[in-house]
Amino acid sequence: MDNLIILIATLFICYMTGTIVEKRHYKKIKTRELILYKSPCISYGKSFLKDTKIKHSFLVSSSVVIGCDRFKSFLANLRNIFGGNVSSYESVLDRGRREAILRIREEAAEKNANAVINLKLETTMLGSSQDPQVCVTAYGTAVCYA
Amino acid sequence: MPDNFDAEAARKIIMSDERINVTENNPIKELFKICVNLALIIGSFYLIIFMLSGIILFNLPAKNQVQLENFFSKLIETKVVKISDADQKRLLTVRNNILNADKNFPKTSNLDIFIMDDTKTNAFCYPNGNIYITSALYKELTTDEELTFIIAHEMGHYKHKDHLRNMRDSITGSIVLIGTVFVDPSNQGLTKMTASTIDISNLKFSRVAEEKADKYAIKMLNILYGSSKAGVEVMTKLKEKNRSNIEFLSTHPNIDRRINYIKKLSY
Repeated sequence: MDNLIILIATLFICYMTGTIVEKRHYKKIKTRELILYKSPCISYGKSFLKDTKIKHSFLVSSSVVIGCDRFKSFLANLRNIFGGNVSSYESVLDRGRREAILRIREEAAEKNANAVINLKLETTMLGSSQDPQVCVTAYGTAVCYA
Repeated sequence: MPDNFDAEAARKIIMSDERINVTENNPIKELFKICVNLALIIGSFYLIIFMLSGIILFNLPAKNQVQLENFFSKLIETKVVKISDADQKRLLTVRNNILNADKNFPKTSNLDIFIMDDTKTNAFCYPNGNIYITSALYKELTTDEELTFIIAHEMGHYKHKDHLRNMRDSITGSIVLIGTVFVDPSNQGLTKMTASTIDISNLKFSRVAEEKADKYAIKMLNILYGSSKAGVEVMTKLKEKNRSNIEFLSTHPNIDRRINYIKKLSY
């Protein structure tokens, strides 16, 4: 019985803190994306640049690790028994991806690049199946127009 | 600057809170749904094993039942205290009185009575029918009527085959728990949830069994002494010794409730 109380209490606390952390992160992501909205970040540069003259270009890369709270992993583990859409991990992946892209765009903007082209994303799982963490690596080419 | 980039469109996408990559559903609702499904599946699995083990245990030939009872009793260790011949005689007289009053009592057990070394006030019946009374409780039982109440209560457990019920419950519980470990090996959440639910339901059955044993003891007291005042006296003594706890989480009914129904059954 005490096990169940501890479990429910842990899950409740994890759910509350996880939700707060996620909301804050999304808010931050949104404001940062709004600052950078004029600088494009494109996965296929050839068709985008066309005849634009390039002064110089350099590699930008970033990786970000987002932890998953206990409530999410608990829900996902239960979901695994029946199978189906594990929706609790989706927001973690979404946050990781957007954060990684934001970081390279910010790096590019800091070095006065105009755009990031040929963006690539890679995702790896870190941690255990009980406490999974998603590691998203983004890399691309920052270009400065002539 | 390439002319095929529309910054305003990009800004609009950022401003809108719609997220294609994230399913917008309430995680609490999802958890509840999964839990209900799991409860249905595990519950039916539990019921099937519960019924099967019950049928097997209760329909065993008497000889095999006694073997099983002795086997389980040997697993439990107790520190038995040597008592004087007078005490031994007193215990046996009380037991024989109850046996004489109840002709239907099953004759599968010796019904030996022992005093064990313990500071807690408690008494219990082993699966083979042997009754153990803690030394602390034995000191409190000053009159023969009180002793009759305690011994008749434990004998009531044996008569109602509560030991077989406990065996069935523990066998079913362990099989279901092993099943949940196989279903969900990485996360112990499912096992913890199932274990707690099984515990709570078993406690409910345990309280019902205690109430039945109490009623049996009162019946015996009424037959032997014509009143069941001793039952209330014992309970009052126990109430002073043991602090009351939440009934929902205990093996025995709340002591005040026990006193109440003992009083109701007395005449």
